[in-house]
Amino acid sequence: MWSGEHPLIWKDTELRFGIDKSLFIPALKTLVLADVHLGKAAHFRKEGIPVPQDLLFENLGRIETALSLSGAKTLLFVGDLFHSDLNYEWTYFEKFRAHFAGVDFVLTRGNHDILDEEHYVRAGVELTESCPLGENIEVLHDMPGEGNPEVLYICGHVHPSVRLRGRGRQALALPCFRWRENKLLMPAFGAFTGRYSEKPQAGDRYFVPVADKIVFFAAS
Amino acid sequence: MISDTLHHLFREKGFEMFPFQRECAEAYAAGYSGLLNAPTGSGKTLAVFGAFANDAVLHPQPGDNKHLLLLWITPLRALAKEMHRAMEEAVQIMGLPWKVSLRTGDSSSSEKATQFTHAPQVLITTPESLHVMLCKSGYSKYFSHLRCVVIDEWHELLGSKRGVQTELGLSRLRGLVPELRIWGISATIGNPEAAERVLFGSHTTRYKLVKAETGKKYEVVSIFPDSLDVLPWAGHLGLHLLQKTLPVIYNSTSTLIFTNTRSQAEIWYQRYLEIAPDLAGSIAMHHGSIDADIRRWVEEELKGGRLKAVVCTSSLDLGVDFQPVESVIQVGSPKGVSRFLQRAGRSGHQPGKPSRIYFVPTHSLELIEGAALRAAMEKEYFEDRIPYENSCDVLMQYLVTLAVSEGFEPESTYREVRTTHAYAQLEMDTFRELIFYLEYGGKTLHSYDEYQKIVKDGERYIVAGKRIALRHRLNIGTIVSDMAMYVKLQNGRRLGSIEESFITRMNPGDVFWFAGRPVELVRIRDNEATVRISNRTSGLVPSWMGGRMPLSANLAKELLVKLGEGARRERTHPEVSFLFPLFERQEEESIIPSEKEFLIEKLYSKEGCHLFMFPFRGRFVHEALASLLAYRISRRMPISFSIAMNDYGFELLSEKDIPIEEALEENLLGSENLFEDIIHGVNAVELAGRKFRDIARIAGMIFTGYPGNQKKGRHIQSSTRLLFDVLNEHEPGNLLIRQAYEEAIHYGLEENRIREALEEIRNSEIRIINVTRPTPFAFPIMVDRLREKLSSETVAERVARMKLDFG
Repeated sequence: MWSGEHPLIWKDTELRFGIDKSLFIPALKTLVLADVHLGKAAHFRKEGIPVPQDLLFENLGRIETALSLSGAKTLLFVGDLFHSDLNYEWTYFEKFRAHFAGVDFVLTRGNHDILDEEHYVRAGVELTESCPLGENIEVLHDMPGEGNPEVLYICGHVHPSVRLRGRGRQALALPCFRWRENKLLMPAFGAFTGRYSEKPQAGDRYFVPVADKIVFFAAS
Repeated sequence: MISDTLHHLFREKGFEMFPFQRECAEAYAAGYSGLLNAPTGSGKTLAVFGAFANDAVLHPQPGDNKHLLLLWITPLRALAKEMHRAMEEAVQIMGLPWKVSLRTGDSSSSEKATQFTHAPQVLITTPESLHVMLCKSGYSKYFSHLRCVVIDEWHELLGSKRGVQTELGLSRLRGLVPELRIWGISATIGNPEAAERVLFGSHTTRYKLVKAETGKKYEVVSIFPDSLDVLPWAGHLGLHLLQKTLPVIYNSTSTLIFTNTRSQAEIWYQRYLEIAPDLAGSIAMHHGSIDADIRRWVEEELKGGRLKAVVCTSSLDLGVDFQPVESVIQVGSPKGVSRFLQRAGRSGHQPGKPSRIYFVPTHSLELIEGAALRAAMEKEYFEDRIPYENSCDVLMQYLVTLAVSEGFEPESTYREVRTTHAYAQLEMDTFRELIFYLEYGGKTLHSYDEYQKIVKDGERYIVAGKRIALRHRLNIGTIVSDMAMYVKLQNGRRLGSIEESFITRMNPGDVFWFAGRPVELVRIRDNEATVRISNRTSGLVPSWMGGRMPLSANLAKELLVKLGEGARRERTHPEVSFLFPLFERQEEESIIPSEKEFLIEKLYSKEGCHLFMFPFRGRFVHEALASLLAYRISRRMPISFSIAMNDYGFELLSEKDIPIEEALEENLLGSENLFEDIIHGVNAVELAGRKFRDIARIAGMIFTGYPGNQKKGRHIQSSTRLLFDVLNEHEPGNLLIRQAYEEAIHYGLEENRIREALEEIRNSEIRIINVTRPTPFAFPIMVDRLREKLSSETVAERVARMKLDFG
């Protein structure tokens, strides 16, 4: 799931990219997921838009797989864990959470995370604005302006994808991780989230999950 | 029976009563419904409105003057306004105490409310507005005294989902008033029997068909350059010949110049002003992006004979008569015989005088279409209009409409809906599934679900809440609306509207032509693009998608005939003879296929291996054929294609060599498994996804926002796409997903035309010619940048050869 082939090493800490769009930090036994957007399907249904309800179970199933394969002790959500006001999907999420007593669930708050704090407390999710991982890595939902150049900021929010082009006028757009200077942008993990593609800048490095591999591109 | 009142009306207007007008009045008075076949400008409105008024005078009912008697449905708001004026005048001349009102999306809410409490006797409206009225409780009482409903320009509605909406509206009105008369007015189409069948369904059986004999003659004149070299091999603007159109404008009272896209209209208008400054003030522009007030002004001026020329798009195809228009110019291919004729008919309203239409080719080979159009018009070879059937989205919207107003009872509604042509074959099971879907939002039920739309209340279904009802009413009008964004100046003055897909590709500071002047984009906020007038004249050329309509089968067939004449150097039409040098050039590099031959050109360039094939059957058929062949080749070996096409042929491009000879030997053109291969080949998912955009909007799955707080079009588009992907994966049997696939394959791909094309190609001698540079036939296809993809390689294999896209 987390290829050792193209890791990102930041001040001796190794970060591995998952083909499921998760990020794993073996030394810290920490699994990082961005923009899961649980509750979005139910939110739509409440408005009379019949989105399938299985989406929730697909998302939870993928989280469960990632947790058990990685053996992570901390599950860190980089914002937008829950899409909207309280709805029944949160109840399922609470039950799901209870199965993983040995794992810490942490959420760095995103613009969509608007539930009352008591819900996070009851579910056993630690809510914070930003979460340091050791001395040189910090995780938060939305990208900071400059930040400390010694610190790697891991963010979400944008749902990035990258456009690729080949001979014979071939083209593709795929969700990706984007490493630019001291910022690592993560793709959205959720199954019902959409994506945004932007122009690469010189120096950007892209890690693209393609089938069972991570493919690396550097923009020069 | 013709009343004195009707005679009086004709006398006062100074018209002789034509036989078809008398026929309408007599059939109506005898209790018949009817369908009148008549072109614009023939006195059709007077015929049908006169027939209704005549009968109302002959057979008055107590209380007539308190109720709505006539509902007149027209596809266009602009037309509705014109009708309003004409009928008000007629009512006044006849001295009838009737009120004539107008109700469209533009009417104010107080106006609409008054119309409902104090019914006018005549109401002119659009199909959407009729459905908004069906959303009001009390509608059944309101329509209970209705005598007649007229569907104007029926050929325009037929073959669209608004037509289906109209059919449902008619079935409801018929259900309320059994003795209602239904009258349609239609221009000539290739399949007139469909116009009749779809209008009347099974609910109306007593009707007459009336045809207006006008005896009008048409003349097609192509505009030629001084020499063939002046025209480019590829292009779509046609500016090279603009100068040559000036004499036509100067020698006519008024001229309409039709272009295929709005951007083209903008550019032509601009260029006219540059090369003929004396036209300033007497030339104007008219297209769908220009603000309604300005458009109205242009129409008024044109009517009043105060404009020498108007550059326009299909926005002036329909509608009101412009008597002063003497000449019509068509720039670029009109793509179909019917559209060309419709446009030609906008000129020369003097009886006995032929209508003359000038054809301006935009690239050299297109000139041959002038000859094809002339031949097709002489044969009255009009295109068919294919009606939609079993559209779940429109039916879903309609059921919610009924639920919002007076509720509906499933059994009787099912029976009523089945009286329309569109739902004549609707199965009870499908109908139940639809209701279940509206009620529960899917197949599986979870105890916590909060889904809501309609609920059962005794025997009837009603809407689940006020919010849902409000949103539904706001959504109804969206059946046709493109994603449009207002364009305004910094002082707040509105210039018009523009497709969001275009404007969102631009950055502040970019300059583009809009409403006849260069403007610079300042910012985009909410649903508005703010611009300032710019002095830069090297503006970015807006590129709208409007020009990508496919050539119709009818025109394509004629085109092949003319090409054959050219290959044999027969001087049948001036256009054919003029193109002889081009044909010679083509033959230097390659060949011109005769009717018995099929041409494939093969070319190697630094991009890879190009195959060009020329079936001459229109863009859509080529898209499907190209994908089909690409798919079949890709099954033999892992290979990725990029596909381009125009109305004459298509190109398969691959970085690898394409083994076309071997593929042909292995039955590349066979008809076996054709349907399956097409579905695999054409990326049916992509096509269905595109169809789903409209389906989701019509079915109310996407909410476009409250007035003043519209969601961004791009946001709506991406969320519909997301919804499609999710449903496609998780509920493939979903009714709306199924509909999206059916529409994509049935209406989008025209399987029959593909089968026919393959068969003809198989029966011809295939000529594979290796060329060293693009030929006159191939060049226009090769330069098309909008391409489809097809690949049998895995994403990983393809990605392995790709680079980052810095565009």
